[in-house]
Amino acid sequence: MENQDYIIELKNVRKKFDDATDYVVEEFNLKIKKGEFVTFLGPSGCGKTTTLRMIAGFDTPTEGQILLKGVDISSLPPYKRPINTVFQKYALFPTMNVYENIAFGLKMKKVPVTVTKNGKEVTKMVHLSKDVIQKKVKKALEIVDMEDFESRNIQTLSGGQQQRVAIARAIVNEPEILLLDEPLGALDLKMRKEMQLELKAMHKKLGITFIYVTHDQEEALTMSDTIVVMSDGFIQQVGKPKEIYDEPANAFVADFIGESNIYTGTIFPDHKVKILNKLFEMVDTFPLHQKVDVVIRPEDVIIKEQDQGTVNGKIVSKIFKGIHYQYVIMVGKNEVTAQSTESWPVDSTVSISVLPNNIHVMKRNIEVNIYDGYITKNNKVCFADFDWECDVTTLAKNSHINEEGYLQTEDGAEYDLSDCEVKVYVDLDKVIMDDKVDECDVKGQIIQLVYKGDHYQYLVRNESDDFIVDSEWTWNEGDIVGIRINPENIKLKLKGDLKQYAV
Amino acid sequence: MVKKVLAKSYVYIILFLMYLPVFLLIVFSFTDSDSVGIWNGFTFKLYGDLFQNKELMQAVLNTLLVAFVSAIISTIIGTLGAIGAYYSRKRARKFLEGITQLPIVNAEIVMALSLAVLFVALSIPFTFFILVVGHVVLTVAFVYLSVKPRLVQMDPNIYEAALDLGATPRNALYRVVIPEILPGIISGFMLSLTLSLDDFVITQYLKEPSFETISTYIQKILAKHPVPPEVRALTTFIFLIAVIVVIVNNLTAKKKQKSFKMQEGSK
Repeated sequence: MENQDYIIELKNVRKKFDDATDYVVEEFNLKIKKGEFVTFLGPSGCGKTTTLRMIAGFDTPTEGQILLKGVDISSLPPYKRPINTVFQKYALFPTMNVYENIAFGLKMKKVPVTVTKNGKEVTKMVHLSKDVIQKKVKKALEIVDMEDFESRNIQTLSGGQQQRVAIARAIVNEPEILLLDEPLGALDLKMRKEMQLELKAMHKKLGITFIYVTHDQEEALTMSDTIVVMSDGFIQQVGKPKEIYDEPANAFVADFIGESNIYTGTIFPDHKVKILNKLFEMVDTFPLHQKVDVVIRPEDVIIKEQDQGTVNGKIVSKIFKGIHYQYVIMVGKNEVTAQSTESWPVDSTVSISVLPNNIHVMKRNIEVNIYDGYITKNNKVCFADFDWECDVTTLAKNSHINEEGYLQTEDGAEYDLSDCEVKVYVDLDKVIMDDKVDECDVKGQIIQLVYKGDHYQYLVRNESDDFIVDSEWTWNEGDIVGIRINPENIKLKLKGDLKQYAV
Repeated sequence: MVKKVLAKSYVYIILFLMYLPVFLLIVFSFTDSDSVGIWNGFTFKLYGDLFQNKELMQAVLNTLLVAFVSAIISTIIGTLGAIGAYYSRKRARKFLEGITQLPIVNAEIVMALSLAVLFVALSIPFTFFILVVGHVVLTVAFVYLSVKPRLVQMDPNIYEAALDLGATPRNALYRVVIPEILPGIISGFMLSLTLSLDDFVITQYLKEPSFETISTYIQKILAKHPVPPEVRALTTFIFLIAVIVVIVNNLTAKKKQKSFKMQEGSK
C-alpha cells in the first residue's frame, strides 16, 4: 500500500489539445506527499498550468492516469474532486457579495446524515445548515484577515482583497489539495512578498497540500518544499529548492533558476574539465573526452590578483548590487559573470578560480540534430517538412549523379534513391538562423534559449521538428526566424543497405 | 452666439419634424371628426369608442399575446443558443454566428414568404402556433446578439470556478452564468417584444384569416374605409405607454448608478 503515502500521483500523463499536433505536457510522472507545498516552475507555455488544470479536472489527460490516494480520478469531473483552485485572475462571482462568494461551495455541498426513519437507520444526503455555513465563512474570512468585508460588493475590493476572498472561497471547503495558479501575478511587488509569507503561514496552519504554479523562480525558491521545473512540456528536474539551485540537472534549469555561467566543456583525465581553454578540477566522474555542459554560479567565481588563479580575464563591467558587486569578466571570447564583495577596478586584468565542488558538470542533452528523412525524386532530402538541397553522393564512395538522376558508383552500378529512408545529421552550429523570414523556405519559432559564455543555444521549432542551433547572434524567445542549412552541412546515412536500391 | 442658437434650433427642428405626425394624431384624438384636420371640439368620445370597438380590442389582445409568447420562446432559445455557441468549438461557433446574422440583414418579406411557402408545402394549417413560430424566427437572432456580448465580457474562469467549488454544470449555469448575463437576456427579451409588437409582414403572411393584430387590422379596414377615428386614440395610448417605458427605464438606470456610486463612496 505504498500509494497511501502520496495524496496525488501523476502517472505517464500526456496532454494534447484537440486540434494541435504537439503535446503540451509529456511523460509527466510525479508523486506528491500529503501536506507538501509543491511548485510547478517554468516559463510561460511550458505546460505547468495545463498540468494544474488536469489535476483540477478542467482538462482530461490524453494519456496516463491521475491518482488521488491511489484511486484513478483522471475522468472525474471537477465538482466531484476534493480539490479547490485559486485562479490567476481570481474568478470571483461578480453578481454575489463577499459572503455569498465564500459560501457558494458550502451551499453546493451535501453531507451524509444518519436519521432514524420508521425504526430504520437511513443515511440521507442533506445540505449544510445556515448556521454551519455562517460559522465556516466567518472562520475563512478570519484566516485571510478580511472579517469586516462580508457584505461588500466584489467590484469595490482592491486586487489584494479580491485575492484574499478567492483564497477564502477555496479553503472554506477544506479541500485535500489546494491548487494555486499564479495567484500573486496581478499584485504589486510589495503586496506579493507579503502574500508569499502569508500563504506559507497558511499552508503550515491548515496542513493542506498546496500545488502552486509560478514562473517566478524566487517565489518558488522562497515558498516550496518541492519544486518541479518544467520546460516545453517536460519535467526537467524535481527537488528541494536548495537541490535545484545547487545541483541543476541540466543547462536549462541552471539558466532558469538564478543567474549562472554555462559553458560547453570537454572531460579530461584525473577529474578535470576543459572550459575557458583551461583545465578546471571537478568532483563528478564522467567518461573521458565527453562533451559536457558546465554550470558555475556567479557567487562561486573567486576573483584574485592576476596570475594567482586558474585563468586570467579582463573586467569589462562592474555593477553595485547592494551587498556585492557584479562583474562581467572576459576570458578570451567567453563572458564570466562573477559576484564579489571586494571592489576591483573596471578594465583591470584579474584571475579567476572556482572550487572543484562548485563546478557543476552535466551531460549535454543534444550534441547534433538528428532527423528521420527520405530522399525525394530529385535527390533532395525531405525532413522537417521541407525538401533540402543536399549531396547524396556522400552515400556511396566515389559516386556521382548520372543523366537519369540515378546515383552511379565507380563500378557503374546505378541506384534509384527516391523514397529511400535516411538518418540526417546537422551540427548545432551549422544551422543558420535568418532575419529575412520571408526569403527562407523553413521558418520556426524560438522556444527556448540558454547563454553559454560565448554563444547562445536556441531551440527553434517549426510545425514538424525542432532545431537546436548554436549561434553568436542574439534573438528573443518567441521570435520567428528563417532557417537555412548549407547542403554540405547536411550529413546523410542510409537506414538500409544501398544494394536494395539498385536499378 | 448666433452659431449656438443655430445649432440648437437645428436639433429642435429635426425633433419637431420627427414628432409632428404623432403629435397631430394625439391632438386629434381628442375630437370626434372623421378625418385629421377638422376640429369638432374637445371630447373623450374616441376613447370611449376605442373600448367599445370589440374587433380593435381583440386585435390589441392578439398582438400582446403573440408578442409575449414569441418573446419568451425567443429569449429561451436565443439565450441557450448563445451559451451553447460560446462553449462550442471555434468552427461551430463561427458557423452559428454567421447564420444568426442572416435573419437580421435578410428582407423580412423573404422570410415571411419562405415560411408561408414551407408551411403550405408541408400542408400545415396556419394557426396561432405557426404565427408564434414565425415571430420566433424573426426575433431569435436579436436575442442571440444581445446575449453574446455579455458572455464574451464574462470572465471565462467563473464557470470553471463554480464547478471547482462543487456545483454541477447545471447549477453553475443557473447560479453563476445566467445571473451574469441577465442584463443581456432582459434586453434581448425587450428587443424581441418590440419587434414582434409592431411586426406586420410576417404576421400578414402567417396568420389565420380570422386572426388580426393591430397592424393587420388597421391594414384590413384601410383597404375599404378611411382610418376609423378610434385608431387615433389607440396610437395615443401606445405612444403614452412607450413614453412611460422610456421614463421608467431611465429612472432605474439612474438609481443603479447612484447606488453604485454610494458603494464606491463608502470605500
